[in-house]
Amino acid sequence: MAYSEKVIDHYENPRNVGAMDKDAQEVGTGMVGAPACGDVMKLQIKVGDDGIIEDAKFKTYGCGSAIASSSLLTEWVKGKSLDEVQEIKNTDIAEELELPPVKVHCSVLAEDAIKAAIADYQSKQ
Amino acid sequence: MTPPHFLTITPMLDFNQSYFKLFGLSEQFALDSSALATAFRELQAQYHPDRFVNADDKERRVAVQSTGFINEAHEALKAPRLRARYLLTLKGIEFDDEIDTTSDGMFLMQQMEMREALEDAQNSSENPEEALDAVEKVGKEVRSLSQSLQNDFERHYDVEDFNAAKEAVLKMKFFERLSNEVKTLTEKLEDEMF
Repeated sequence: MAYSEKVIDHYENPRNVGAMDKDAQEVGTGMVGAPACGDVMKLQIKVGDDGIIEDAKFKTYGCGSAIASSSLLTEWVKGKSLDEVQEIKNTDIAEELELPPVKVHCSVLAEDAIKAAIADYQSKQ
Repeated sequence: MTPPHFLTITPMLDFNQSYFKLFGLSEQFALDSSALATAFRELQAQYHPDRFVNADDKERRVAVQSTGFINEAHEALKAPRLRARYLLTLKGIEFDDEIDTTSDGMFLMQQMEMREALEDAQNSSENPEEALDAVEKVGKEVRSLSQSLQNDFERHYDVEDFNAAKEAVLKMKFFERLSNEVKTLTEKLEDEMF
């Protein structure tokens, strides 16, 4: 199976890899796992007083598509409001990265991770 | 010498029987590995396509199907996770790989930490021997947690709490992945040492 150039680019130069303090009030952390393949993904957002996402970080142990999906998503969410981010669908990610059908579940994982991160942030407010 | 109507002597396999029944094992998680290995070898020999070279097309086809069924059954019972999964499917519990997931945050956090520890072990040391020790330490934790997950499964399965048992099976996959990574890394480091 051939990866698209976009996937390879994110895989070789992942954006926003790292971690934030998961106990900080302005940070929301989403942890998700895919039992079908054993991938785990952590996605974190830092939300400003104005409700805009200031920063996003991720760490993914998984295949190239899972890394690319989470890397792309951290780029997309920065500077957006939580409501805007809720509108992002896994199909948007899959389309942008040209994921083949067998890898679409990686984009689902990324969508689940950002939703979990938002839920975690909101539960702290 | 192959008798002309071999299948009249070699019984037809019942493809609807459970894999446990096929090998004469009881339907449970605890496995007598040597009993499985012996039964598998015997059945394989009995239905080996080589023994059907002089049989007619239909008989040969049945022999190939039988071998396929025997191999499939063996695969499904040999590894703990697949055996656990198969036990649940016999109870009518379905697995959807696209949807099923574990939302146990503590568990996922622990998975993340063990993967980080493995990554650190690999990167932190110039000395392969030290790196190998660090990897072995993670490997030990993986084996022990993996074992307790299997015990969890067995406990839930025995009291017919199939949802909890399914959750344990879903979690096993993460450990399977980790064990494979420990193995690959260990082999790589050992290669560097010699």
